[in-house]
Amino acid sequence: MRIYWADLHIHTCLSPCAELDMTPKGIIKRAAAKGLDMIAVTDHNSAGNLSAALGCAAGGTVAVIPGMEITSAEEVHILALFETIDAAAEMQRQLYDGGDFPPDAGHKAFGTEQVIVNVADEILGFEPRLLAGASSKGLEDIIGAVHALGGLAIASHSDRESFSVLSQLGFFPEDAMFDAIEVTGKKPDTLLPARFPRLHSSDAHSPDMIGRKKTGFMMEAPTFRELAMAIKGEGGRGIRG
Amino acid sequence: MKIAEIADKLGLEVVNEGQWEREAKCCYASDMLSDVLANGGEGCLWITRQSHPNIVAVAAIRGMAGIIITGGKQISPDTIEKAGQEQVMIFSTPKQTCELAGMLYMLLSNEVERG
Ligand SMILES: [Zn+2]
Ligand SMILES: [Zn+2]
Repeated sequence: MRIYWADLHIHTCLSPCAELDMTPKGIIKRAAAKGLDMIAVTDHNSAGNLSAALGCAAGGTVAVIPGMEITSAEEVHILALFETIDAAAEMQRQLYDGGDFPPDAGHKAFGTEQVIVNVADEILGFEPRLLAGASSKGLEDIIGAVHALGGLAIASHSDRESFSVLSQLGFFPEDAMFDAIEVTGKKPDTLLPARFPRLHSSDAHSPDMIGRKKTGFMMEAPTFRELAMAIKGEGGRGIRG
Repeated sequence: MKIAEIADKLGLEVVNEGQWEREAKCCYASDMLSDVLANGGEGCLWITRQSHPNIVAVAAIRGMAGIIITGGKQISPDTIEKAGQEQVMIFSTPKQTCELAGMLYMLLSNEVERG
């Protein structure tokens, strides 16, 4: 076992607020240059660029965990990490089912295009759904859906001024089923329940942000299963900085 | 103005019973619970689209007169159960926040003018 450094919160050019040079290929190159062993690709409410990201990572030194940053009805951001692209795609299907994130909702008002690309950085298309919107499902329902798909649910930037558990809900619900919480250090740690493992990640929207914050995991290999064990503190795995 | 009178005049649907005789002195509209926790006034009726169980604790901590959930949103049994425990009145309305806030504001300010 050794420490693997991971940045588990990175947006691609598919996210409405991310820069267009955040292509999967570029992200992985940058992550490798920053010495990261593992990243998670987590676009807002979409799994659209995951296959390109995993394709780019194949055979390289940086492992990619398929993920998504889901916006709950309370407008709390939840990082969902999965073992497979299929699980992430199923999560996306459940999010869009029932009319949330309708297509052609004027996404350009949020700035950049929402670009779907392939492994070679070629544009495959533009996502017409307003990914900056929110699900009509509440926090607990989304965490439940992530767990039902075998995924990990992490409270994104849980102590930040916007789109966080603290900003949207005032205080951390005692019974929240999160597996871990991402902290930015902007608020006193005492506002966050002690029982949740703390993670540090960059929430990168531009290449220079990748790896600025990272978490070290003591584990056997940079895989989803090992990561899940490390977050839960099982089998001698754990978080080490 | 008494909550009962306000509920009647605005046609609010009762989600959780509470202190009908209590006076509402003011109103506050916000969906960010951290904001309400910091700025929600005592004795105010709080207008929001949030229906997470945490709204009950926030209203109780700030001593607010009650919560009005707008947009005809479904309210979870957890929220209703907590409201029962904390004795926080919850109402629901199909109206949107802006419209309801305008109506409530007029009601409360007319009363102030009449003395
Ligand atoms: Zn976020
Ligand atoms: Zn993010």
